[in-house]
Amino acid sequence: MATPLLSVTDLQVGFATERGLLRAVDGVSFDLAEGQTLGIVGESGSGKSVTAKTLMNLLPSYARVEGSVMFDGRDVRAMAAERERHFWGVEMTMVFQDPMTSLNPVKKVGEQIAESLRVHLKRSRREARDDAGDLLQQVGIPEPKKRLTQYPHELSGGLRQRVVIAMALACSPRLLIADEPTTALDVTVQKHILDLLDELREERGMAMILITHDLGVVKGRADQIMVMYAGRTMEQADTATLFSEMRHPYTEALLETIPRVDMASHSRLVPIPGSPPDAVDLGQGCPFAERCRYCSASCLIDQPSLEQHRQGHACACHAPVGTDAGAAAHAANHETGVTPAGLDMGTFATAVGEKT
Amino acid sequence: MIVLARRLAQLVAVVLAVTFLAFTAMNTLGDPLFNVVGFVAAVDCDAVVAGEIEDISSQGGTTLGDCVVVAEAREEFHLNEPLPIRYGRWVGDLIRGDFGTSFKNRIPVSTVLADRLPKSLLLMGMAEVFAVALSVPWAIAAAYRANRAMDRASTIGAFGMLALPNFALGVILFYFFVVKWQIFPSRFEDDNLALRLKSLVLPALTLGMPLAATYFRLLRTDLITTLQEDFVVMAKAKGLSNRWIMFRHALRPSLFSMVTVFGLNTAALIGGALIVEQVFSIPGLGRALVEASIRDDYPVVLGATVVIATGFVIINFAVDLAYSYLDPRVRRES
Repeated sequence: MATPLLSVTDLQVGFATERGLLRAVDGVSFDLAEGQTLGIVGESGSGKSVTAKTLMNLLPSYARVEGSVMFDGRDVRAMAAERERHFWGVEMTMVFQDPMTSLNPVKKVGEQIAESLRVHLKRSRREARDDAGDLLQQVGIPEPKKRLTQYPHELSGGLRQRVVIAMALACSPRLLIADEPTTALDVTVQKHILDLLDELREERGMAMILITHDLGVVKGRADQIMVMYAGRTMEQADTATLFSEMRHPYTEALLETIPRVDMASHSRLVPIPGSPPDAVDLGQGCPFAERCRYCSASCLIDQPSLEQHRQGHACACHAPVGTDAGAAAHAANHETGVTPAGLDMGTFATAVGEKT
Repeated sequence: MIVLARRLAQLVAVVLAVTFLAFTAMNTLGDPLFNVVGFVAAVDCDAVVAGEIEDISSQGGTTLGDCVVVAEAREEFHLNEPLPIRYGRWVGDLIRGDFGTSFKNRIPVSTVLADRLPKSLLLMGMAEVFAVALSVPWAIAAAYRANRAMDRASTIGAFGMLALPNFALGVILFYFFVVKWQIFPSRFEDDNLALRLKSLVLPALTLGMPLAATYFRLLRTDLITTLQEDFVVMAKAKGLSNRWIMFRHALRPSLFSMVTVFGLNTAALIGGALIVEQVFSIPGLGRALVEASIRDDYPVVLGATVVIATGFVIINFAVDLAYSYLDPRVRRES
């Protein structure tokens, strides 16, 4: 593979809190080639948004960041926001979760799109306004000329997210980071927005990082997927491999939480028992051990490292799904009815009976 | 148009309510005649004139002639009539543009107002200009550095400015700038606009500094809140500079509390700057109002009340207009 557009190596982000250092991101690495899509998947607090904000230089000044972020050969972390006026917003931009709050309520939609063009591309007021109209057209907003003079509160959620996307795309970025771009929207609108993002990426040859808690969202859209938990990478693979040879119990658990077309219409979804761990006090074992049905004694004391078992597929687990170790750990837990971490195996029984 | 009509109705209602209260209070709690004829009014002159009391030597040297003056004055100022009728008469005069006559020197109230009001308005305007010019840049600077040394020092400074009473600040400024360094005149000079402005600098500062401290606190807090909004994060992600974000995104939606308090303060300043007017010898409306109240000179008090109430309503209207400029969502509702 040629030099990737974006290369993140061993990224660590911590926040000093009163109780100690909160490790929001711990050793994340990935490469993203021009025009490709990376899906970052995980629950709330898994570190996916912090990773995105680190790339966008949006972290508060007290955040402690280590590791390297290279964008097209440039060291992103060495750039200072006030000097590097035309990097963020031009080469790399971001779309946020909630279009209700990410637009300024007191500025006209047209002005909010046009301002990037005026600041970065030095367009005149008129030119920027015309371009903003074109952008609205491109993101599929009907009557773009009229919308330019409207305020955000006059638009629906779906239209607002399209406006946000138009804003992000104004300066033709090479990388777009979309952080849960559809979470705040109606289900019926979600697919439209995701498809739109995909189309625009395709047309413009732009790379994209799609952040979501829903594996279903990235399934048909991402080239690569990285599953994060408690700030760490749990599993990393290209999309087809991940779905066909899923190895990490957390990935499997995530997949069981989403409804699928091939399931019987009234099958129950399996929630993941428990909640993500406290990122200040992670202990020494695997962060997912407490909630894992494949948990073995070693998982509680020894943190598994991310290892490539074959080219392009890495997983951090002592007893991966689909391996002998995994099957043995699961069988042992099934036998005793409780995992070494103290989780009742009966918790899983309700939904996928044959599995436990 | 409907909005304007509603405002006008509101103005009339406010003026009527306020003046009725003032009228009743001034006439029941004090004796307006005191100013016209002196202590005589305290004597039971009705009885004297009616011949019921023959020996008026026991009435502290008051003569029959004095009592006749009292009776005439009562007639002239319609003080014999019942209160509602007198109030009605006053309102009727007001509608015709007649504010009545001051008991003191028989000067028309409109003359008093025309003399005093411009000075008070100029003082009010200057005080607000100073307050805004000081507080807005100050709040912006502090909001950028929220909770850091400069911000904390500013907060303490603002509380200090609020805690220092007006007269104390006025006297301090007066001592240094007038007595010691003789930069500013010691009393109000009315010869030309430049001189008028110059003699109002210190009083306006005295009034403006606590206002600035209030505005600073409000704007700083709102700015810090706004700067944490998602749309500001979005603006940063668009690569806009801090300056652009501050002036084109954050400032406008942060102005609400400040504008509200600005309106209330401005209206209150029209007739409420009496301490500062006293310290700096400015013949403003506030002093006129206080002096008239003490003398039970109710035509002046009522005239000033009408002006102040009108000011309140007009400024409130302006504040509402400002709201709809600041936030397009307000425009929809109204």
